[in-house]
Amino acid sequence: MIRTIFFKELKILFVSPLSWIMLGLMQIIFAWIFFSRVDYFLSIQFQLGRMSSPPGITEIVNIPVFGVCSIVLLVITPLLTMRLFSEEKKNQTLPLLFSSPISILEITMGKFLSVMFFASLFPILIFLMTSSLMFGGNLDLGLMISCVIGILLLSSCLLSIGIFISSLTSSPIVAAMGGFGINLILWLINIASEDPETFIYKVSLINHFENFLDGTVYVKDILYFIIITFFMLLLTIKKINNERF
Amino acid sequence: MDSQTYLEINNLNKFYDKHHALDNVSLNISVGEIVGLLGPNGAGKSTTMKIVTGNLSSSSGDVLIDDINIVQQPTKTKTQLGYLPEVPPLYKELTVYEFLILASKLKKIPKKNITASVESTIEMCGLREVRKKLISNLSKGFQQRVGIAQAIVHNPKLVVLDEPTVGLDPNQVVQIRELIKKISKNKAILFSSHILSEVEAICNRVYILNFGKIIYSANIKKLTDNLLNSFQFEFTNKFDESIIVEKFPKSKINIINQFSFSLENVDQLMINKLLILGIENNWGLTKMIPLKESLEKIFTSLTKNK
Repeated sequence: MIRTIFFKELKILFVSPLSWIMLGLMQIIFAWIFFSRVDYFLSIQFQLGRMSSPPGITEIVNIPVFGVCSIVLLVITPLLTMRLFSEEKKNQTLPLLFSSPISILEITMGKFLSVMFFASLFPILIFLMTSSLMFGGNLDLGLMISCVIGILLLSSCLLSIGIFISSLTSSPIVAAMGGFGINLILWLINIASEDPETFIYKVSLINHFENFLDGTVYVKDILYFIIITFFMLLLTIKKINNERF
Repeated sequence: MDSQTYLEINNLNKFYDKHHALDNVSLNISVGEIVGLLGPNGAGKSTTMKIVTGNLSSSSGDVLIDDINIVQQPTKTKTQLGYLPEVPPLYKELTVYEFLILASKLKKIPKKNITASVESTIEMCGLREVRKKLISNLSKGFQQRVGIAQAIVHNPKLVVLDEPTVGLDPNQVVQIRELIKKISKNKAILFSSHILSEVEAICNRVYILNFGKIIYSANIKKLTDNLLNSFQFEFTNKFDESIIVEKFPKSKINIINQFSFSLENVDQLMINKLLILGIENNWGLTKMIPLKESLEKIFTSLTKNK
């Protein structure tokens, strides 16, 4: 049944012009950043040649594109998740799901996986685009894969937050604004503390994500994103279940 | 539960904080029956239906579908349940066909039977001409049909319809009523409405709810028969009003003109008495018309002050 919900959500997502506009705009932004970085890389060839261990093309061109992607996700994910439950509430379609032989866990997972699939297109497309440099230079594929993993984990975390916010309201706009607000707080919370031992530092999204951009994959970072995702999905299931009381 | 009973509700209670929304509601429906749930707004009709369909939990009491408790085995009971809420649950971005395919999958129809089920439902609900149209582009009447179609696409034994004709024009109301009658074969149908003539036109039995309690339940024929207790009498000659008042002191007499009057709360004995009076006084009785008291009047008298 997760599959049925997954395809239903994807279908609804792709009949909406918003999704196509989002995909198109993102590609334009990523391509623009990519070509700017290539141009910059070519312009500093002389300086690089004089360095003893210069950074490679992956660090100068590819990683910034993934970095931009992570910021773009802060804005995009609430737009993707805003309608998942709030629109069901607004259009009063939840009774169809509740009166069907399907659990709330299956409904939530189907919805989550559908937006996860959509969000996964961004790092995959960036990976394919930046991989084109393989024909003219040597790429650090390990670093790129680390970035893709980081983006995927960040997406799952932001999407699960968005889904939970969507389950709280029947207004998609409120869900989008709420999701964006929380994403921003989690992203910028590290400004409040530079000390790695503080709680605020530990819950900051950016501190956990940046390690992936450096090519260092820590279990604690992976667990951080998985735990937030799991917790938010659990809260969503609880909230939707409470609709029946 | 007898062998024919398909839905059984026993002592259902629902509290919203301190508000007692359902108070020991018990009812049953057999296969082949259309049972009407009547009541003013806020009586508890939708709450009862939401509990039966798993959209709301009850505070206490049991709901059994085919002898299976819906709380203990929700997945099993929901495969035999179709529900059309007051607002049809439609994904308007999809076409009618796509939506019914989705509904079939949600209701766990085996993959090989999905196309046949959808096609036969489209045929039954008269959706052939609009099957490729987006639901958002359909009229309210057609959207309601799609709502009914999603409720019956898996051929459930129990269909719950919450005010399915609300907001429709008279022609659409007639069409939806005919559709409900058509699908009622081999199904138990629980139907709510506050339009009494509609219940009279469709249902076999009726339960009247008020303030969360069932205050009346009867066979629809019995209900309407009970209403036939007023008569209008017409004569060729002038009748003597004083004789009528004297002979029927307990009945309410409405004088229409010098040749006719109506009498309320009439029984067989009174009719006989009036026939004899007419002959004795040479009033020349020409017509005796049963006046059917409106269902609305009965409904109002049942639901007020309770």
